[in-house]
Amino acid sequence: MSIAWQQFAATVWQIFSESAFWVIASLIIGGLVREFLPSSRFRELLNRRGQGAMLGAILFGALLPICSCGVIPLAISLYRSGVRLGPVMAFAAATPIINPAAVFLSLALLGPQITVAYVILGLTLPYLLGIVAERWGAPAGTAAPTTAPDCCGGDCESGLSPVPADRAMTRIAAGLRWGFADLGPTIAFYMTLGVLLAGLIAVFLPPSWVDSYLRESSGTALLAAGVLGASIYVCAVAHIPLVASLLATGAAPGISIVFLVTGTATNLPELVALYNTIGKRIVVLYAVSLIVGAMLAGVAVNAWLLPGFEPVFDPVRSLDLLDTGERLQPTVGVALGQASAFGLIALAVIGSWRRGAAWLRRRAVADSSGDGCCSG
Amino acid sequence: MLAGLSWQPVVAAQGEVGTATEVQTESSGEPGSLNRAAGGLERLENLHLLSEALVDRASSGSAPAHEFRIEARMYRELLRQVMLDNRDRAIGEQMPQPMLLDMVRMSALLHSAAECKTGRVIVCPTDLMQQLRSQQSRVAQGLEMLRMMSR
Repeated sequence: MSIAWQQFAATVWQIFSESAFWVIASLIIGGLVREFLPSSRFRELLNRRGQGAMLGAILFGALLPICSCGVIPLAISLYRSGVRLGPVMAFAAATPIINPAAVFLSLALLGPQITVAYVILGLTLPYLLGIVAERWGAPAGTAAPTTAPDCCGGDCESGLSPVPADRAMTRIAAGLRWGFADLGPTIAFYMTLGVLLAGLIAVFLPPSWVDSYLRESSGTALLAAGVLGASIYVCAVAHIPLVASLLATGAAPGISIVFLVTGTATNLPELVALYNTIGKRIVVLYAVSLIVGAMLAGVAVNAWLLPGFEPVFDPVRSLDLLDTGERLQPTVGVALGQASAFGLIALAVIGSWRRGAAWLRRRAVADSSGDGCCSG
Repeated sequence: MLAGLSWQPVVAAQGEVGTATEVQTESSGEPGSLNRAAGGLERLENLHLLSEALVDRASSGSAPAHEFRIEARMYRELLRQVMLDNRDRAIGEQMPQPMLLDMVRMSALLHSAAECKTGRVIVCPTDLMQQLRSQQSRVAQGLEMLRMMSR
C-alpha cells in the first residue's frame, strides 16, 4: 500500500475515532430529545417567537464541548422534534465554533485581540445563520415538523413507530431505539461518505496550500481560507495551536479567524449528513452564509489589527491558560474512542445495507412495472 | 533522549516536591549573572533537543501515545520552570520573550500531536506535522541567535 493510502486510512480512522464518541453520545441524547421534547415545555421555549430561543440555543451550544460531527444527530433530533429551523441551525453552528476550552486556548496562543474577535464572531455568526435559515431555509410551504415523524426524512427503512408509552423506562428505550435503529444508520452512512471525502482532501491537498493562503490578506486568500476551512476537518481545540504558529510567522489575523471559524463550524461529513437529512437548500444557504459572513469578519479584523499587529503575551500566563484550556477539554480514552468508532462503522454498514436493499427493491419494482408496460 | 534534562523541576512545578523557589535556587546556583544566563540558554537547548526528538517520533507514525504524552507534558513543565527562573532575572539578563513564546507554541503543538492517537500510537495529520517542523526550525533559529549574542 502506498504512503498516500496509508495516510488516507490513518486520517479517516483518526476522524472517526476523534468524533465517534461524541456522535454516539449525541445519538443517545438525540433519541431522548425526540422522545421527551415534543411533550415538554422546553420545546415551547425553543419555539417561542422572538430572539430568546435563538440566543438560548447559541449559549447552550457554546458551552458544549462537541465537534461539528458530534452535533449532527442532536441538531437533527431537535429539528425532527419540531424545533424551529433557526434555533436548530444556530445551535449546530455555535456548538463546534466556540467552547470554553477553545476560548482559553485562543487567549493563550492568539492573544486578547483575536480572542475578542473570535468570541464575538463565534456568537454572532450562528445568530445570523439562524436568522438566514429561518427566513430562507425551509422550502416554500413547509415548516419544521411539529411532531416527531416515524422516520428521518424518508431515509430509514426500519419502520419503527414511536411507542405511546407513559412509563419513563419504556420511553427511554423507545428514544434509544429511534436514535440507534433509525437515525444512527442514516447519519453514520452519510457521515462516512463525508469522512472519506475529508480524508481524500486531507491527504491529497498539498499542506503548503494552507500555509501559503493563510499568509496573505487579499480577498482571494480570504475566500480560499474560508473554502479550505469548510472542506477539511478542523477541530477548534486542536487547530488553535496550528493557527497560532501560522500567525507568529506573519499570517494575517483576519485570515486566521476565517480559517478557524469556517473550519470548526462545518466540514464535509457534517454537510453531507445535513444535506441528506434536513435538506439541500438549507445546507447550501448555511455553507454560503458561513463563508461570506466569516470573510466579512476577516476583512473587519484585518482593518482593525493591520498593519503592525503584534499580540502581547506573558509566556508564563500563556502556559497557565493552555493548561486551563486543556483541562476543560474532556478527553476520551483510547479504548472508549475505538469502541465508539467501531460502533459508528457498524451503524454505517447497517445504513449502507438498508440503502442498498431499498435501491434493489426500487429496481425490482421498476423492472416489473416496465415488463408489465411492454408485455403487450 | 532525556539526558541532560532534570525531572526535578517537573515534580516541583506540579507541586509534589518542593516549591518553585527551591528549584530556582538549585538551578540558578552558579555565581554571577553571566553563568545564570548561560545556564538558561543551556536549558533551552536541552528543551529544544527534547522537542526535536518528539517531532521525530511524531513523524515516525509509531510512537507510543502514552509515552509521547508524558514527554510532551515534561517539555511543558520544564519550560514553565525555565520561564519562572527567567522572570526573576534582571531585565537585561532575561531570555527574549519571542523566543519563549515560540517555545510555548511548540508546547501547544506537541500537546496537539499527543492527542493524535491512532490506536495506541501517534499519527499526526500532514498539516500538523508541517507546523511542528516549521515551529521547530523557528526555535532552532532563535536559539542560534541567542548563542551568537551570548558569545
